[in-house]
Amino acid sequence: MSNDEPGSSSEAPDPTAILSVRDLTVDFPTDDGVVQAVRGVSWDVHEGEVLAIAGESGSGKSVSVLAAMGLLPPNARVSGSISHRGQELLGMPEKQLEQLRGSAMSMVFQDPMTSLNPVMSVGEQIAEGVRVHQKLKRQESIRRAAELLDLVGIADSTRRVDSYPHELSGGMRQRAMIAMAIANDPDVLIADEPTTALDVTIQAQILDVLERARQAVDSALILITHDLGVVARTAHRLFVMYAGRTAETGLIDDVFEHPTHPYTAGLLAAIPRLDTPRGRRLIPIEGSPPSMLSPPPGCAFTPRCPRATDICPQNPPPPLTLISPPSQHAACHHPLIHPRTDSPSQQTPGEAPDA
Amino acid sequence: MLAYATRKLLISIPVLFFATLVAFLLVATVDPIAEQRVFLLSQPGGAEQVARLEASLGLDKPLIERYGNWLGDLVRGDMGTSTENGRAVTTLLGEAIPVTMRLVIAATVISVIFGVAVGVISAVRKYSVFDNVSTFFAFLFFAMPVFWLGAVLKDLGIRFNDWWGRRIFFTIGEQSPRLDADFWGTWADRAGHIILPALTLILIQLAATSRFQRSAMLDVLESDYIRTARAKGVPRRRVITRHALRNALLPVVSYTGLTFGTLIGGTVVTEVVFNWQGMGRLFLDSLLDGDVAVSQGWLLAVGISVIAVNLLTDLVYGVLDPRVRHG
Amino acid sequence: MDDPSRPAFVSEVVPRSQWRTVAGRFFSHRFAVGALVVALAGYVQTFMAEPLTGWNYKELSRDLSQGPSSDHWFGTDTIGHDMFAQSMRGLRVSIHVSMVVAAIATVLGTVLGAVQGWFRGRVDAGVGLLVDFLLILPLLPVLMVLATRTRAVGGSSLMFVAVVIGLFLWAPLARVVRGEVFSIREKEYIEAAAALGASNTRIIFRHLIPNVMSSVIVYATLTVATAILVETALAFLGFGIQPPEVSLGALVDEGRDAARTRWWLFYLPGAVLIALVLCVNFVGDGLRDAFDPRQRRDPRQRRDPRRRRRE
Repeated sequence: MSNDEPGSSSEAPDPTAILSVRDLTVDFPTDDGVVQAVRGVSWDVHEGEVLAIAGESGSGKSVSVLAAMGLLPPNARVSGSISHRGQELLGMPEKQLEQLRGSAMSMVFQDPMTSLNPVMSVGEQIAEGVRVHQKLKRQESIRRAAELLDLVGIADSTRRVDSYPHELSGGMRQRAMIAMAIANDPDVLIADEPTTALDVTIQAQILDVLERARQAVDSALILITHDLGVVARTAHRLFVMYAGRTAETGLIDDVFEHPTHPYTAGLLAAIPRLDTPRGRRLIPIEGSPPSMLSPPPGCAFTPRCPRATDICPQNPPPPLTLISPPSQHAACHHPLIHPRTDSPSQQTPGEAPDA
Repeated sequence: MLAYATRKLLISIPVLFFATLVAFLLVATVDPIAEQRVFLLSQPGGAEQVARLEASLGLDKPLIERYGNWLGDLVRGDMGTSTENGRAVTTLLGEAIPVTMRLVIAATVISVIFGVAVGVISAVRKYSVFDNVSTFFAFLFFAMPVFWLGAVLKDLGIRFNDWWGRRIFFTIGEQSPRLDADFWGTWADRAGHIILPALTLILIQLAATSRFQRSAMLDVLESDYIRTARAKGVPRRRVITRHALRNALLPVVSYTGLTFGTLIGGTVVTEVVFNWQGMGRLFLDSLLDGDVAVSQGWLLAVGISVIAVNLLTDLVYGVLDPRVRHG
Repeated sequence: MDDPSRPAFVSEVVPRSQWRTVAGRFFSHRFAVGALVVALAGYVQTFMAEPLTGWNYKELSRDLSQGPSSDHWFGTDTIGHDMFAQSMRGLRVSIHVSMVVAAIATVLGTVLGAVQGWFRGRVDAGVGLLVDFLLILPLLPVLMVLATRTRAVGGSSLMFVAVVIGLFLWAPLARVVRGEVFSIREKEYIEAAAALGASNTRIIFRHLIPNVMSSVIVYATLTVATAILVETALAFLGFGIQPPEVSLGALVDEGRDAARTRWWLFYLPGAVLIALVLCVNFVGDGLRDAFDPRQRRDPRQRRDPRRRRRE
């Protein structure tokens, strides 16, 4: 697990990491101007680690992993560096990328209703992914597909391989997507809001299946979500994005215990938790994220931030700085400083000196 | 699939029945003896002759009864006789249909194959030179009336023959008159005759089909399951053929069925331009002569073919799309 | 977002009216604007032809079978008609017929499609049968039969032909409007209107139809092009508008046997016809792009960074 500072731009990709992102920016030219979806983001994910990337929709969290997979639409302008086990992915020939996609890194998408090919049986879709990367006969690949369906908890898998997507429920389809993603024992599994499109009642099931699948193939997991409640149980480390930039990163328990970025604090105050005192109300974050078409020059969170001062709208937030050892980094003019967790007395958070 | 096919077949039956009604009624009020009537009524005792003529043709009976009789005869394979030349309508259709079928089948098969190919390449290489050139020609031929394009090709064919010094393109008729040739010779002669009329229909159909295929393909290429296939590491070529094309063919299949009626209209016009003795000529003459039985038989035959083609496209759709087949 | 205490530095997009946006996109579409200008100029020309050249379309001059000249821009036919006057007359007829057809088909298609989508159930099924039937109907043969039946009652007049064609061309639009109404009928503002007790008529005309106008306008343009092709094809076969009125289809029919010897009789009226249909299609395409920028085909957009793909 990486405890060193991940955000500095001078730093080279971490060769021990499975996936290492440095200074990633992604722009989309549109008719109305350039949408700056990701504005200089760096993170690493290590072997066996579960990294949660959280943020509101439009914060650039999905775009940054799609960039890693090479799945952005062709009009996207990508710069920075994304490396897989030290091998640079940006600018890699498509043929080579195809060999990595689905084997070294694989992905589960948000909407299982539209993410499966409607005219191909589920088993065939899984088997196809197997055959692309492994020398297997058709029959063997279908058998492998049935095993994978078993693994993700689809009953009667030998018969279900012949089912078409429209014959399965949303939860079953997402299980099939997960089976597809782990078919070739990936190093890193990326799940992009895997439960958002599903019924609340089966969201927990799917998260369990995802964790079980991850352990079965012993891969790292990047879990993208807008819902911090989802990541609380599964993730080791949390990476919070706001308006295309990193807001805060740290070990999940530390961040949940005492967030250092006002945005993270706001997010946590807005979710129900078992350990909150009775009678305390959930506090939503007022306002909405800025348009990424022309994001404000300074800190994008300023208009919604309770701690904002005059310097915030003019100056971009400082680079990620270690605010609360051992793990918590934030990019904020006025982070919330906490006393050390081992300190006996609980004090109110103080204010850091201006950067 | 069997249940789906049976259901589609059963739905065709009332449609077919409705088609007989439309074919009959559209023409039923035409007076097939209009000319004789004028002539006879000017003669002494002509009124009785007219009455006898009407009775022999069943014109004195009410419309519904005439429809019943027509339908009854139809079931027995009798579509009546031409008032112009006394030949059975079934015989006339039997001569005309194979001629027109050659043209329709050649035009449909070639325009669908090329239309799909051009549309797919245009979509995959969006805004490439190929896409822009095919867009240009699609716009041009889409705006071209069949009758004008046919006449232009005919003119160009004749000019080409003159320039070459030999007749390469035949521009009149579906085959050479009094042709005395063996099997292969006959077909070679027919092929020489079919090139320009078929090209007329193909160019216009191709324009529409390729645009339609292009936009269907673009829609599919943006869909989530294409991204899933790419995320699995499926090579680009296979993503296009196995995943995208299979889905993008669906709208084109129904489109082909829906435009078959338009193709029939285009065929009528093309046959007139190239002086073919096919369905087009037969229909035009029957209308100009007030030959009721032939017009009715023609409309019914065309109606049946339209229903059959749409049934066929429904079945192909079912084969391609499990959602429809199981639904 | 409406918080007045919100700091002024937050960027915001000034909301423009949807119609102004659409108009803006349309007018930035070179081909479409050019086509609209050419079509309008062509229509004006149909009124200017006689004052400019001095020839009326019915008039017979002494110049027989002459090629194009400064006097007869498009030449003359075997009996001395000025072909420019004739072509312009035919152009005006085509424009008028297609406008009437488009008006009838658009009103029918919009209203019937909206009725289908709003009432659903039996109304939908009933109209749907008619739509399915009209969609596969071989239009040209049916219109030919109708033409022979109605000639006695003025069936070859311009208006009559237009109305008959219009009655057959509404089905594609009805199908599209039905589909769109099905999806917007669940929206809150429709439900709210229904809950407030708005009548069916009011909902259909005040709430549903205004929300499907983009498809309606695009389809109306397509119908204009189809109507022109159908009207001229009928006239070509001798079943459409009859002399002394002029149709471009009839002109092409009369000129086609002379294509090699007196090319102007065939090629020039045909060129006018194609130019008209091309213009209408370009305008339609521009409108579709203006309403749905996703499918844009503006040549200036082609050199965007889309080219810089990673693969």
